[in-house]
Amino acid sequence: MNLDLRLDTSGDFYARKFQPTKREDTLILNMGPQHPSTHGVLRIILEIDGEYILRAEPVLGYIHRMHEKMAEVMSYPQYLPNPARTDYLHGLAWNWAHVAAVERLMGLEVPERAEYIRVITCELNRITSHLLWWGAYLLDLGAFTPIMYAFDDRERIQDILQRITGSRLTYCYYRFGGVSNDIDDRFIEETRKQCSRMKPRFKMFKDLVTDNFILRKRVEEIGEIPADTCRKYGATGPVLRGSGVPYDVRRAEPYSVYDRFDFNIPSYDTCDAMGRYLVRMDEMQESIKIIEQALDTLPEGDYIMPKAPKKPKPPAGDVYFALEGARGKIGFHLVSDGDKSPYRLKLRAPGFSNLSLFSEVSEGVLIADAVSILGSLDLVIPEIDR
Amino acid sequence: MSEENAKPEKAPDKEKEVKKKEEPQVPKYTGYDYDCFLAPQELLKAVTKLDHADFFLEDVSCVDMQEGFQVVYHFDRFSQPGRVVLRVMISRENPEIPSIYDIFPGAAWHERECFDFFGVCFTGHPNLIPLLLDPEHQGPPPLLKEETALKDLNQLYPDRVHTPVSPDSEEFVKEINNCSNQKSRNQS
Repeated sequence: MNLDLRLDTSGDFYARKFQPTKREDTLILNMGPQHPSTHGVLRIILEIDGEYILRAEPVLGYIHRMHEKMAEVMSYPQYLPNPARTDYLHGLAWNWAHVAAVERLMGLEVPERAEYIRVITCELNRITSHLLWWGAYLLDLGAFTPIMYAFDDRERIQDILQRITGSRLTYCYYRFGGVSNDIDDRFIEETRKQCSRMKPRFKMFKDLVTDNFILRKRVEEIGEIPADTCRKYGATGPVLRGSGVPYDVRRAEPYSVYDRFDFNIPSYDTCDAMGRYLVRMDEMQESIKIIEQALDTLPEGDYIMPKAPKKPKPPAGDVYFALEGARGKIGFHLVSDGDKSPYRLKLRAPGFSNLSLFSEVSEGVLIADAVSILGSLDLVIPEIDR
Repeated sequence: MSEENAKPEKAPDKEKEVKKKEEPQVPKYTGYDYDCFLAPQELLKAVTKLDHADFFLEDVSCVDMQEGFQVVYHFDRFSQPGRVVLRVMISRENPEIPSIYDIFPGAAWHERECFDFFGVCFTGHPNLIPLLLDPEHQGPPPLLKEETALKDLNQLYPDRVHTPVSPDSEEFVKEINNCSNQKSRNQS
């Protein structure tokens, strides 16, 4: 038996395929897939000169589950729990995108009350997503306390949602033609209470964290992404709005009943991590505004179409449905051949496009700043890998 | 008496059935504001035009069908929102299509994903290696359909024009400049 005991330093497939610069005095370093700041299993191959990054190449696929193939082998209702498991922080938005794509293809109408319930629950979910991002981002940057405040509010909202939807994280609440369960007076009362509780807390968050000069040193003028780079890479959501483009699918391509509410689209033209940070902080307050308006004008009626098909069979054809998730534009491209399962379902994950610009943005920055940039992109790896 | 009563009752039932079948079949708005087929060699020209018209790339998708692979490019615009979809048919025997990486660098990952799932080769791509799948993955790409399950263009997209449009034509330029979801929603 011949055992080759020499140390193999060529690395794995991706390390060998990595295209470093021509310089010889540099070091190739793997960041992840178990690095805590990569939030899950993202791996980045770095070529560094001292502490400066020369080239960075993210390696994906560590939790790839092939949701697109699962859609093709499952019937439409069987696939309902799947989308929320891609982006587990804003599960309701993905759940919504799936049912709405099918509804659009079938021409299925949704009762007004159900649309309002969807808006309220989806916005509540957006707040929980941003709160977790806020806590985790500051944890990345070395501040431990804020995540405790974030989870205080987040847990309360999750309790509210749990009573209605039945789950705390991977929601499967929306159905074709409505929602699975009506909201009650207790839900409305609790939501109102939570909204009024959160409003003064944003000022506290600002005093405690946003104005802190240690934080500002870590985020201001770090990771500048010009608006045109966002366009070239298809970055959307807070990343784009942090670069000064007030583009929000809720306004640009209105779906559901969003055109009835009065809300602002915060955008900052500093293009840095601080811009993206402030966009998310403002967005939570806008979400509260939307929720309060929706609760004030909540119509009576059915929460699901009485004749909504339990096992839909949409006609042949294809549709595209996009909506605004916490991380950006979620898109479902659904191709149907008239059967009980999709012929092809393509999921557009906003984080996928947002992360793809990291390679360009991280050139020449410090490793510590790269951590700050990664955090400011708000990555959810299961959504990127799908 | 009973026979006479029964006849008029049956007639409206049939009408209702006919109505039920016709009503829910067509989506009011498909989410596409301009939908066109392109020849593979004209893709880069069309994408360049879209780049100049300030569009951004949403995603690159692919559909496996009898005629071959249909590579689908979705574009949208920040300033005047409206979705443009470019569809390019390529053969199953020689699945090659030019990469749009040089125009939209963000396409690199989307194209690698298509290469993973369908085995479509994007010529001119700087780094066409597996992105989401294991590089040691054996066997055919996962999203290829079995021969028996394949559908053709007319089954998947009934009542659509499948003839390729030239990106140099006035119609194409006019359509992409005027493309807006506000307008197509008002029409539907």
